[in-house]
Amino acid sequence: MIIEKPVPSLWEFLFVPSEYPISFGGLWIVVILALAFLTALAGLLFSILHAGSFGKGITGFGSNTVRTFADLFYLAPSRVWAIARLAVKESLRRRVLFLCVVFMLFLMFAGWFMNADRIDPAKQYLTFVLSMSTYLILLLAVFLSAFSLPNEIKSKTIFTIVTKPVRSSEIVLGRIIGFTIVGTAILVFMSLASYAFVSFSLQHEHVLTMEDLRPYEGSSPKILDSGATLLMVGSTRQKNNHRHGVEVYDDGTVLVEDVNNHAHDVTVISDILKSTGKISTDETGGLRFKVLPSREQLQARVPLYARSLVFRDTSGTDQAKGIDVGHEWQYRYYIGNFDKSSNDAGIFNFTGVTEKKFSDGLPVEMTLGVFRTYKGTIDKPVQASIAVRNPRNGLHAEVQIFHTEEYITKSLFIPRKISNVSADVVQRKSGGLETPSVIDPSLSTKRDFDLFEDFVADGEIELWIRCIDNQQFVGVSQFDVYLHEADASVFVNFFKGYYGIWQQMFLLLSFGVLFSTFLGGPVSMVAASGIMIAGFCKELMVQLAVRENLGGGPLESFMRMLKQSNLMEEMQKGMTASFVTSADYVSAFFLMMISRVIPPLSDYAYYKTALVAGFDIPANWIFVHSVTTFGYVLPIFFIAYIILSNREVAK
Amino acid sequence: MVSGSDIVVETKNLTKIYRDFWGRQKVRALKALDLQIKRGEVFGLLGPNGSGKTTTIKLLLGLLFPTSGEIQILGKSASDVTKNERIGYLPEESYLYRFLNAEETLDFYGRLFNMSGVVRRQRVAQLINMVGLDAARKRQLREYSKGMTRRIGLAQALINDPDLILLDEPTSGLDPIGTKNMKDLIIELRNQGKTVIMSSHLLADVQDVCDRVGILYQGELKELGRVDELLQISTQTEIRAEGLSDGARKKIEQIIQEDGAALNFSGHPTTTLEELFLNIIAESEARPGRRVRGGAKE
Repeated sequence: MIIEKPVPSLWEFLFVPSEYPISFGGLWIVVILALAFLTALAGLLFSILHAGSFGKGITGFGSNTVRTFADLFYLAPSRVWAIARLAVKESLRRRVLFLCVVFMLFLMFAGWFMNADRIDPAKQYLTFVLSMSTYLILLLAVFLSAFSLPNEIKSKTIFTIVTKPVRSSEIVLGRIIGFTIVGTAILVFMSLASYAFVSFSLQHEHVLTMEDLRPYEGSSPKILDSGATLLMVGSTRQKNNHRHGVEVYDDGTVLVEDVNNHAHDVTVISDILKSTGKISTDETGGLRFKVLPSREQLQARVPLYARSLVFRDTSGTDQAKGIDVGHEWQYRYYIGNFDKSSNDAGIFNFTGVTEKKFSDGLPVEMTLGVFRTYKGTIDKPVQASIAVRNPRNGLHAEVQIFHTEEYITKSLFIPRKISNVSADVVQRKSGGLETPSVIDPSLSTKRDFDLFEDFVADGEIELWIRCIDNQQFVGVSQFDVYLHEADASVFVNFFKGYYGIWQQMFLLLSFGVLFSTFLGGPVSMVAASGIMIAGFCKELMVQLAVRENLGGGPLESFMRMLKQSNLMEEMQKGMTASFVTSADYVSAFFLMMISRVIPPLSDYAYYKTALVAGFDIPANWIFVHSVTTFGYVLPIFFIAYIILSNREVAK
Repeated sequence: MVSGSDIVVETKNLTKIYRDFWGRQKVRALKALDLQIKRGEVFGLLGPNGSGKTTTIKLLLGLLFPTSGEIQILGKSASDVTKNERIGYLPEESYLYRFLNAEETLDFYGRLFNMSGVVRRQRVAQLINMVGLDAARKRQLREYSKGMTRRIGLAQALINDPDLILLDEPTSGLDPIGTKNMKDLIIELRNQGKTVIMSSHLLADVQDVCDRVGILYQGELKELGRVDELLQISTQTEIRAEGLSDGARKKIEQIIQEDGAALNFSGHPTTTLEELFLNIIAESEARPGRRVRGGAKE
């Protein structure tokens, strides 16, 4: 999975500055204070203008502010609930449940066009259902929330509400809650339907008969721990563009190869097996096999990422960055090739590697980048090696040489028992210091090693990735290599993924309600949709605001278009250029302010990425994003409340 | 009850100017209204369409904000939400949720007063019975006739047993029986010691139930006072008698002439059409299937 930043814990997110000189919690407070200041200023100006005199305006504003805050304490849950129930009933009357039917229709038609014959069919199905759910539910959120209040004002039903002891805060909150209930119900339906659709679509059976098998003719008999002897080998018939290798043992055990993240259970049907409990070589003619539907094809891998990645340069010194092969991907660096004269390696330092978690050995998974300086034989992959090193005593052993595969997750397994390898002691150098400072030459031997006894020290181990093809490069980033720690529940993970969509929906309908307190229905819908689009383009907006893009700001780009000059060309120095540049700084400043308060809808898309890629969605994301969501909804609620309570509803 | 004061509603110099988006003056809907309404009276706001009656009621309720002037309602500011605890409001047209039925509607408004479930159910049943909608309690309001909508609107206004009731055109769209019931109900409310403010352009309605009226025209208060005083023509005298012979009538006419006064009218009085209609209905209900002849009872 592609992530560029470590997932912060809630504490780090709130209180530890990372990208900006201020932490997100601090940024939130600053934005809230700024908003409060602007709101107060606007309110004061309006009050003075309205009252016609300075003194009256200030006292009016003061009493209004006191009332606004005091009223919040009288917020009654029963009234909020009454309004929420009404919002639910209103939505049901608008036939929102029809959306479920629409969703089912989409699934049906999609079933015609998608097929499971791909290399990784789960990706295709998951991407489809998640995108479809997101679009439909966000559309619904915008429509429901944007039209409700304006419709009530138009039909004047609001008159009978606000002449009861109902606070504006209750009207706003009740609406948000009501629409959230409706959206949640539909989203739960969608998630269940999607899960059923994906599981059902991926499910398949293979045919396996005696014709597909041949007797095992290995030089030495293959015997399982249970004592069963291998009788026949072969593979199933093709289905969904793949087949599974099978091994049939004499006690009726059938081992099935894992392909596309799944296997099948196979049982042997045979009278002889039933009576004697054994299949003999002569009687295999009458065997039949029953291949059961595929086991779970979806995954929810829990990765253990490296705590740090450093690059060892040719001279053997640690560097924070590796070789830059161009502006390909900012966060990934390359490792040069390793031979007698060069020491290049990427060193991943893992912590928390315990015997309990990885009793059999380390399942390493990686997505590497490859940079070729010559094409060579293009279908021959670049070779790399993986080594383990004990960070305390420097004991280092190369355990495997493998072919790199770009764009595909490569799985390796470092077994617990590493037999018959030559180990040596390798020192790391950084800042003039060497670790370990004193080496023990007796460790450098060729013998059998135990992973945990020899290479892991206090749960810490180093994995060294090297490129061993001459003049080729292998690219890595900190999150490209991880240990496959465990598998979480796929079903639960599916719901976590939908929680990401839920948060987007919740945010957007809050914005819809906010806009509807002072705009008409269609206009608030457009405004909320604008927030949605901006939210999905937030990264682009920030990029423009920090002026990282080529071609400059809006005015400079416009000038370039007029002059038909390309992006790389320097602007002609002079009055115009400096005016254009400074004007663009101003626009960038405003864009910066706006982009900071736009909700990061694109961040929630990570949920989808993780789910599609088959990763467990980490709890830290859920905490951080939940806090972010409520961090937005709280001020939205407050502003909507202030606007509605100061509005003449009968106008 | 109003604490310490008998004045339930007081406005001082109340003015409302409608402006357009640019702040340009469009309509001066209400000009410097000074009004005092006492506890327990039925006050009528009278005037032609567009005279500022509804604007006044909306200002009192806080649905509109005054351009200038002050409002004290139940001792509180019009913008204070807590005043609504003791106010009932029947809007000009019953703006209710058409997808709810009568019970759900009243239950919803009851919830807005933070009533407990038991009180709410009791109150809902009582009000539905009072406005005579027992048979239609489970029907959605979209299927209601205009009169039924009006009645459920009234029930909604009384859900909290209010001290002050504002009725905007309470009899509009009602048939004569509905009008009569509404008027009876207003008098009943007054008898319970409640204050009622109603607006109407139907003069007869106002005359029948109101203690005091204010007559608005083009946003200005033209007349204010007790109905009986306002309508009394002190220079004229009316004599009504039952079973008077023609001879006796002649004698009376003679006495009037001898007194030097001018006789304006002498003869059998006609009834109002309203009264006639009500009598016919009452007669029909008593003896169904017969065509009722003659209107006024002999």
